[in-house]
Amino acid sequence: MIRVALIGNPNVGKTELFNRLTGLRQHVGNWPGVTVEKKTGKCIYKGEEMEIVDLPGTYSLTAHAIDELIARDYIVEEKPDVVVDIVDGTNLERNLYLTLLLLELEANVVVALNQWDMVNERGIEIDVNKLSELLGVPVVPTVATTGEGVEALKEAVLNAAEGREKRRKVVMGYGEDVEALIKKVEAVIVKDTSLSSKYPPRWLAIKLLERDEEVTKRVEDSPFWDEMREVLKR
Amino acid sequence: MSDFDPRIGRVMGVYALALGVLYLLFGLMEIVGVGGSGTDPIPIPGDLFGGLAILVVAATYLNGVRGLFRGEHVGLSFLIGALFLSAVFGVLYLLLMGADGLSYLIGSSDEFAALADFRPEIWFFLLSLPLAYQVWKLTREVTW
Amino acid sequence: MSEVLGEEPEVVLAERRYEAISRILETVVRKREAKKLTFTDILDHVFLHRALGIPIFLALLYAVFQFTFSFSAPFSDMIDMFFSWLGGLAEEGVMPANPVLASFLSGGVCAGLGSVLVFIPPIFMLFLALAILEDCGYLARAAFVMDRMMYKLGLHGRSFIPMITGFGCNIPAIMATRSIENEKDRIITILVNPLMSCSARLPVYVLIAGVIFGSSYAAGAAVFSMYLLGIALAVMMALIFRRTLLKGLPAPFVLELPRYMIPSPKSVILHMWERGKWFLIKAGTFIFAVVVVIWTLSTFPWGATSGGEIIENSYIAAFGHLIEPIFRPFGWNWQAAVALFFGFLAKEAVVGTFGALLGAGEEAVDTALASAGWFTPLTGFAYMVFVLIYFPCVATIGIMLKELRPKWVLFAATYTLVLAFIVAFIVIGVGHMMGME
Repeated sequence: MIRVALIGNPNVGKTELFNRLTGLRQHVGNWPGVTVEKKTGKCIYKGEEMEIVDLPGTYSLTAHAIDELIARDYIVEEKPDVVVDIVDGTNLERNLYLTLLLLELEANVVVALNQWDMVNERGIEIDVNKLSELLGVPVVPTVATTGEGVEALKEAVLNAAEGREKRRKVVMGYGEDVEALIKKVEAVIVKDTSLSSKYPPRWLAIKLLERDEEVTKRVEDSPFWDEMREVLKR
Repeated sequence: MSDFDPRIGRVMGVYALALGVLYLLFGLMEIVGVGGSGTDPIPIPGDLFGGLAILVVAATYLNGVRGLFRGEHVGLSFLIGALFLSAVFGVLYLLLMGADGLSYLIGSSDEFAALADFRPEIWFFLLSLPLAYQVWKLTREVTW
Repeated sequence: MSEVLGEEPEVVLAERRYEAISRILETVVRKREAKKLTFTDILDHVFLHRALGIPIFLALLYAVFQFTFSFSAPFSDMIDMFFSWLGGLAEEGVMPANPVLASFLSGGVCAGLGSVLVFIPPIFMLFLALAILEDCGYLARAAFVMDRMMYKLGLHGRSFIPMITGFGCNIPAIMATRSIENEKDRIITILVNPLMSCSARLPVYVLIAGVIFGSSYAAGAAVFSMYLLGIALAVMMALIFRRTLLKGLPAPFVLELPRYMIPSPKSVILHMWERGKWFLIKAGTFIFAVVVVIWTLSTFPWGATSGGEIIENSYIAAFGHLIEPIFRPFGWNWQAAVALFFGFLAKEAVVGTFGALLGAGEEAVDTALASAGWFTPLTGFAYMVFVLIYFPCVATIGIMLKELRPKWVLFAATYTLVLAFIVAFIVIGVGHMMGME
């Protein structure tokens, strides 16, 4: 079974797409320990069963809001086979922020470029191939309200799950000054093999630099914590 | 610079002005509660909140007049908002009239004063329809 | 490290990400023509207007409640007739064989539960109207204009989406506060949320307003004024909490608004059904249980049959007379007091209690209540106000316990009760000054 997570900013048509993918095979429950609704559903495509989890709609993946934390924890801990990032094509500037964060998490991302009809109506031209190339992940235009592109999205998810999609690891640079800091912290993190096998080291380094409380807590037990702190202080 | 033909805009502006003034007058009358008898040609109920609500409609129409005269989109914004409100209240009171008729039919009320139920908001809604048609013609190209 | 970057690292990294995004967009996106004007732009100009935004919201809200109250009346009457007929049938058919069962069927099930079920039409129509406003994209604008005002008052923006959700039910509304990042803002929003009048309180308003104002426009206006009062009190209490208990500045907010669209009938109906069905489920389980309890207490010791004077020596009358003095200053009788007591569990139970106590039988609960003469316009209106404010229902308390520390929940329960007494007193006092009874 392929485990798929849906993520996206609020109001991008995530719920419609979830309904399109799962139809009536849905289950609504709660995320453990909190009262945020958790929706899961099933989808069968080409004989493969996909279990689809609808993550809370978020703009970012910080530790500040519970919604964001739930989404992040699910991707980091449960490591779904594919993460479908639903992006509002008419507002790429805001929406791609989340996409970059997902790439940093080294999730197996497939971008659904939703509201494609609106993109065309508003006279915006998006070079889908180029976008896919720059992000290093497959990009599929969709219209969740009509179901257009949903079959192509399923195909892309299936291919991504089986590792058949072209995929490059794209590293988005933060500029020399920040990169130097990231490299230093990362160098210490990779020494702790148990930590770096569990989480992407670069992501950990970035979160530590951002002083993410929640990630800091997880790293504190590491035997190399003192060394990391030294590096972070400077 | 104008966004659409100011000649059409002026016609719409005059129409909107007239509707705005009508709403204003009847809104005030509903608030102070004159009329109210079913024998008037246009029955005006004493209805404080209903009166305040149509004053809002009046304000929306009147706000758009200047923009319409200049042929600017701003005027169209207010006009569409006002037409929407006209429709909401027109349909609302039509539905309430229907509900009163239904009450009479099933015997839970003794009379059906259809004329008294025909509030000015319904007339004004009908009066706003030609304007709505004109706006629709102007904005056919506009997407959501 | 901050020295290296000159600013908070989190801010610097976010900026760099946006820079990367604009580099990507430069090569990927091309606009064929200048940004075209859309309906969303046109409509936002008026619906988000600085001066007209809030009046338009209130006017639409008034339309919603006038629709809810007046349009649903004949449909409620039909349900009422059905239950009255059923109750009469039970009394005639079963009475000779088993009087206790007959009383249970007619007084408990038909009158009690029936009196709650007649509110299916107004509740579904409220949800219908809200679903239309939500699906066409307006409700998010309403939240925005209210938030803009609240932010100027020093309250957190983004609180109003949970508040408007509260018109349906406070439980999902309180869950929706999860999206508020600042903990103080979140506590304030949860604390004042029960003041937003939920759909469970609607039956009480519809019943009492119908009894004291008949079917005039004043009745719809009275129902609307409850919702208005709820908003006003919520804003006022939030301000007080912000100035006293939870001092601090609100976090700035960004709100993304969906585009307008013509709602599809299917999704509107689905929305309405999803929310409305909880009322049916609640009525069939919880409210029914409460009604059975009330019927039992009002019918025993046996012989204290409901309806008429005989009910006076029942258990429930004894209990009612015990608590009635608390509410005497408001001019409410013991039956009204008992209804308030059961309303602690769920507000619909207030109506169910009236139904069971009046044992309506042939008469509809509203006509029975009107002819019983328990409320004058003034005491009835004060009663509506009290029901609006006095206590979040048990289910809301439950969800609050999950979201807040117990001391805050205790505080919420206490302050609402105190506030209810204060505001109801003010209503009665002002009424007396105006020469009402």
